[in-house]
Amino acid sequence: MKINLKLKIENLSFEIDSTKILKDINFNIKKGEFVGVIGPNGCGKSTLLKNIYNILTPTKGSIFIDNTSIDNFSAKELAKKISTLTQHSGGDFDFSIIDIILMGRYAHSSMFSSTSKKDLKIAKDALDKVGLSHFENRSFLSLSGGEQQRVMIARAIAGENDFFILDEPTNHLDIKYQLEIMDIMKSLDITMFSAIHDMNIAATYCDKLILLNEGSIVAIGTPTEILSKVNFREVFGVEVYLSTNPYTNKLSIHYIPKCFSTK
Amino acid sequence: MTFALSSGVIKINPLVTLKILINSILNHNLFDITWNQNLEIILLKLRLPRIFLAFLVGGGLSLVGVLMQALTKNSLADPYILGVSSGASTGAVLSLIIGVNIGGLGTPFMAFLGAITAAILVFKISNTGGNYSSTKLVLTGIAISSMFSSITTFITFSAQNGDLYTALFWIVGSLSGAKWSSIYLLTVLLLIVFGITMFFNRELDILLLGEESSKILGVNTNKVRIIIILASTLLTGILVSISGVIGFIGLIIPHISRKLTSSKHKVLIPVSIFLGGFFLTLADTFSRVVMAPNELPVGIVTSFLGAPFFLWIMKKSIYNFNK
Repeated sequence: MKINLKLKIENLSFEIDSTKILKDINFNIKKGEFVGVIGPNGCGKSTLLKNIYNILTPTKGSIFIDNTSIDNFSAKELAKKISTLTQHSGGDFDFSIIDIILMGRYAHSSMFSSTSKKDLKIAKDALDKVGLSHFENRSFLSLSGGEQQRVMIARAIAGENDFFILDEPTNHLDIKYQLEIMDIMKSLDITMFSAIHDMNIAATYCDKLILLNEGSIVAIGTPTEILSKVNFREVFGVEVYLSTNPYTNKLSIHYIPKCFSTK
Repeated sequence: MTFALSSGVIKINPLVTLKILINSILNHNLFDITWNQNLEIILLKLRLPRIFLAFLVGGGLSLVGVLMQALTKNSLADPYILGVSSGASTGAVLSLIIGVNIGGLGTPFMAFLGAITAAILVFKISNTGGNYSSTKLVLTGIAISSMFSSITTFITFSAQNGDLYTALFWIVGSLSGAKWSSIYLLTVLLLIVFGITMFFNRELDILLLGEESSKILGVNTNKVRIIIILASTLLTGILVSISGVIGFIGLIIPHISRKLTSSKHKVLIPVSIFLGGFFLTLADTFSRVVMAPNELPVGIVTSFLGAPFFLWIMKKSIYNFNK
């Protein structure tokens, strides 16, 4: 059963000042799956991801990547296993785009080597993939939010990993960029684990969804199984009308605000 | 350099300056001595070490500024604003006036202890509650800085008259105590810290993106941070023990260097050291000349130029102050 598991989470709990943020989480992600985690604000989505990409340390439980506990990885080794993309953050200091992407090669550099020709080629190819080929010497801070996030994707791609963790990567972006970014993700055809805010995006792109509420897993299944009327009512507190998008054949969610639902 | 050497209370013809220098470098009188022998003493024993010292101190302070900015990912950070220099001067004054000498390593070590105490206080306090902000960091720095300054002033007040001038020297910052021995010490130390920081130049670049991004990209942030804090407080301690608190160089120079080149430390570090050295040499020459025959402590000159510059950076929107 060990074969093909990219990520395995066992009895994961996480507390801050004895407040339980995550309670006994268990799930697996197989190689090549695009898995989304959804849930109301404060349900623990980000905390769960941060435990996996090792910004936070679990209070209890274990996390395995490629069947090895992440406790056995140094920061550098972990960065060679997972590429992480968070909600965009720029910083105060300016770098050229190619420099930002080359930072994604840091984990692959040895102690004394600087940037090699190979690194530069990988960085340029990554920039191609996100459709910003001619931008390499532009300053990062001069780009729009959507473009900056695409640079961040290129940086993640330059890490050459087959597992991406995404923490609401399309948050605060225009719908055009949201779709563009998710399209790029889908086209990479590697294992993805993403926190997703927008239910239609979750339904369109994910193979499997994990529904989280108050730190516990409510259900795991296909988008059609998880994004049910009952779950919307009980977990999110909203009424929905569900249909199938005739173009994508994916589930489509229509919200019914209270002022319209009293017929 | 010839200009800096020739200027001063006693003006020396630049040509004569060059001739004296060349003679002394060759250790042979290539040019006939047509000048007063005293000029040679002024030049080689007083002014030359002072110019070397100005260059080293200016370069060192700029390097520390670059490092503090990377550590705090804040373009407003420098050893002066973060209170590290004030901590160092308290250490130095404690050692000089009261005679405290922990570890028996003398004034430079006491200055280092003061610097690292201030640095740890500032980083710890501004990080409490988990949510780091630039505003909090700068305010903490100012508070710690004035706390240490008041301790320094207190020690100064309780000092004997003879020591007063010494203490004042530490508070304001001056290069008038230039000695070859301190120049050797500083050269070695600056080279070591320069080497260490160039070794970590990629990590420093990535640190500017923030703690989380650094970890995601595989940087062992704690290790890098500890090494950089140790290296920069050590350098600050030694700098302050030699020249007192010279303000704002660590802020202005890295900023200008960033504008001239980039935020990449591989380029930024050498450029900052060179520019900082050049700037302080110039400022020190100015401070020797402007009120001749009296000397102005160079710290007054740099603060006078630096403070408006600091306000200007704060005002500029590209560096988001409220983050």
